[in-house]
Amino acid sequence: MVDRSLALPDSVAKKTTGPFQWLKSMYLRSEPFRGYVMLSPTLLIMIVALGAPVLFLFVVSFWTQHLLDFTPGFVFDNYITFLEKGNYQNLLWRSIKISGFVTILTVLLAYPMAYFIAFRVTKNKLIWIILITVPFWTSYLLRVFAWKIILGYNGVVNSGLAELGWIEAPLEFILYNPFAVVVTLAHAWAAFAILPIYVSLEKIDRSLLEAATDLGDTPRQRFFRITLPLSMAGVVAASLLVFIPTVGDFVTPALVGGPKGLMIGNLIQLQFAKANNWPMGAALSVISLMAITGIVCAFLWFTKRIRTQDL
Amino acid sequence: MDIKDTIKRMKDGNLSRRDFNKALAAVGLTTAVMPMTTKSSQAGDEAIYYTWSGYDIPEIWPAYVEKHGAAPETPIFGDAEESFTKVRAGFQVDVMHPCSNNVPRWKSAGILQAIDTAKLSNWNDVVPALQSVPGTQFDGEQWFVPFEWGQTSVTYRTDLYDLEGQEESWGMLWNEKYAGRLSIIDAAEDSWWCAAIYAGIDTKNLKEEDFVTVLDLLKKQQDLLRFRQSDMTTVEQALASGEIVAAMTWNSSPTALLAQGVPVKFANVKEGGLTWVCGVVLTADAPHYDKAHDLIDAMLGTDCGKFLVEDYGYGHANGKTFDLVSEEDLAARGLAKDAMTILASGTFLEAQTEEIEQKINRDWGDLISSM
Amino acid sequence: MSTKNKFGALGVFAVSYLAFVYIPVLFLPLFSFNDSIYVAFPLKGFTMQWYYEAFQSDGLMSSLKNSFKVGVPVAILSTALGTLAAKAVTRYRMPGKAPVMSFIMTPLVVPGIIVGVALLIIANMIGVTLSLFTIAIAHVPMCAAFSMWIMISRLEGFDKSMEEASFDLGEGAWMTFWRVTFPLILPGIIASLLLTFTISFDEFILASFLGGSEPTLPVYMWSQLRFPNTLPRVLALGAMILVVSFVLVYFAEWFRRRGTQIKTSSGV
Repeated sequence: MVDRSLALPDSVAKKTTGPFQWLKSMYLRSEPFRGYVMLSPTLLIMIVALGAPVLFLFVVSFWTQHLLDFTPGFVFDNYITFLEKGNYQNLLWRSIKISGFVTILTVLLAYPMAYFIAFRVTKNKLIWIILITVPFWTSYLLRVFAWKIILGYNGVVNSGLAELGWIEAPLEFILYNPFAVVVTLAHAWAAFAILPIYVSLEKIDRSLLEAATDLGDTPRQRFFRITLPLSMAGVVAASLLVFIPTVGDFVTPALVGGPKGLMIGNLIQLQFAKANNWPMGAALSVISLMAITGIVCAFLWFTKRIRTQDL
Repeated sequence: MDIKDTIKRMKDGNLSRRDFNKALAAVGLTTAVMPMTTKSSQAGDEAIYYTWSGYDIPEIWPAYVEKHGAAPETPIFGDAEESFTKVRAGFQVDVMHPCSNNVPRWKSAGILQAIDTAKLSNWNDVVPALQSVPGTQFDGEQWFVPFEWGQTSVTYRTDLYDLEGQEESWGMLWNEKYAGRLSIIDAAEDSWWCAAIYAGIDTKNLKEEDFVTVLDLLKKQQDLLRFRQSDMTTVEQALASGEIVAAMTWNSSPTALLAQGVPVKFANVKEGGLTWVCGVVLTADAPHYDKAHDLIDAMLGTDCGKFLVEDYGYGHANGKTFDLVSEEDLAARGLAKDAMTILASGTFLEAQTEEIEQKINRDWGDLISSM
Repeated sequence: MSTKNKFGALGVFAVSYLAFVYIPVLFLPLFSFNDSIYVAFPLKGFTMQWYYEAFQSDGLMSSLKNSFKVGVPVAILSTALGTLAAKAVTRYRMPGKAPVMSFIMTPLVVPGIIVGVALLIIANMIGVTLSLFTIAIAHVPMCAAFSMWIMISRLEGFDKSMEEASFDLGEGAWMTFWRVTFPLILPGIIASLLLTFTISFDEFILASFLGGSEPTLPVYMWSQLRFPNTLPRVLALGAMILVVSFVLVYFAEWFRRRGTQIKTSSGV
């Protein structure tokens, strides 16, 4: 099947000779080669702007800080410190929990919205998508700040409730704690969850749905048997897109988390900025990275199992 | 899947290529509105002053503009440590804005050079005690020019915080009666030392058990805090609304709040505040050596000083500035005509050995990660 | 297409969702007209002063421009890279695909601060001056990874036979891409452009580490948040960005309407 598509360029290839021709015939004959040629620009950028820094991160995590300078080496001091400090482990665990809540909340809210745009909106879908993206063009910092206005002491919620006579003194438990972090992050990452879910829903072949209806499926059955399984790729993508970056966030916890709503990102940032202990910061990053990777793999394995069971 | 059907769907579909071209046109419009011109300031003829936000305004350097007809470039940092990290990694600037306690460390990292005081016309008016702040002169050379001084203390709402006849004290920030309505600064540089002052330990001669004492105090305080502010806006807003009643701040916060008519007072704590001197340093490979000196000189001028005292509430290094400001204005800002009466009344934030810094930072990491 | 009432429970949900997304943001314009530097209720009075200040503030305006200078090229470049990569991994069987893919996804699992600091040191080692360019370089891998992700979910299960049919009908590779592949992946490309622009425009950590003397908008705002006097003009700017975005949406809508009319009148 694939070979047929090669017929046309092949005639062009005959005109050239030498190593160029060899490359060209390689290109035409070998599927992996073609794939990697197509991947190469992206790969190159990744290696230069990312591979090197990440390698650096791993290397530095085994160094030690001696006063102002690093002592290169290969010691596990930083990792041992992490294992000795219950505080650090708890903080990582708290970050994962917060991000987990954020992810569940965001995806649960985003799915119906994406579904609405994909299936109910018949005209101007683009406008709906832009409409959802627009608020996210205002700075992240300002949006966090907006939540401070809403949840704050003299904020919208408190003023509103006081106006209604439901409360006498402002509620203080709604800001500067993990709850505020969850709400703020769920809002901040909403667009990131809707887009991939929307794309996967949009891709579903409508004739499948019609066929299901013709075969007597109720809309509910149809949703669980066709729509949901076929859009799982989008749901998985959305979950990871929200979960992974939020674990490392430090701006939101610093602004609305209060003294007890901080996350692992704040500790890492402290090591790199004020504490000036880069190796410790690198080690904490590597540990978070491994924890995140572990969770992501478990999640992918789990969703894959569900999907294959369904089919 | 039927190809014909797909092509039909493509044509009738909601997102056709034509629509996409329209959307692209809209994006193109935006790009056209924002011309991609390179900024002329990139030419880089003026001194580069790497500083805090709020110091990037013309009031800080009137004499410089007078002389050169242009303002210096002012990239901004979030905190002094960030600027250190960045310059150490190769970011080129002329003048930086640390506090005196940072200087020995920055010097040993090799990012600084001595400042030629002979090039500064205002140097002789600088209060002598400030000229020789510990850790800023090495081998008879000046590595740091003092610019501003002040203290870290408690700002409290006079109408909401009841002293109950007690003296003003750091203990106000440990008062369980006001649990959830207190705040401190989110930096060990201020908060660890203020806790140390409250603990009454000998800050000149720190012992191992002192670190434990201070950390315990900070952990005890953590349950009483509403937040640890990383910016002045948060704490000033919260004091203005009554969300918090007492907070650890610098001189600028009560100055700003009083100007807005909020009833606050900058406490004269009985244990003494944390006092400090901040100023400017010259980078080792400053690209505009002479203009950098002009900038430093301009910052030492009394016109800049008057603005600094009246609008920001900080003391100025130039002694003559204080002839231009009234006694009442000084007192309300926690300042005095003679810098040393304030600086000596509290615990001065001095440069520490790297070992001590690291212990403090280690404990601060423990604190922020504790539950 | 279902003819069911589109304003059922789902429609109500969609409207409430939009409210959830918009209401917090709409407080920015509200307080940008408030005559007090403190952002708190009750409102004090109406003023245009903050808008005046925002326009007067060179720093604010140039940082806004800087964010566009970074965001637009980054969105285009990273979407191109992401699409290419997604096409490669979904179209071809390749040995070592899984590790290569996870490598391309790594920007999503590395905290920005690490990439920022590491890139800063590398930039210093090879003698690159910090500028908007270095910020863009740092944004591209992250945005390309996001883009690839979106494009893969679009291309997964992409029907190869359509491209082959096009070849059979005598179309060249480029025309096949333009006429068959491109329209099919278009929703993904639009989503990717929007998303990558949003990410770059709003990215703070990398921009703060890798920016030279020209800050992007988030970096500038972060510095301004430290001072209450400068906060209201930042709110004013946020409000203006919101309005400009709406105007753009309106233009896009206008273009679309016009397009539909032409399509109908020409009888296609």
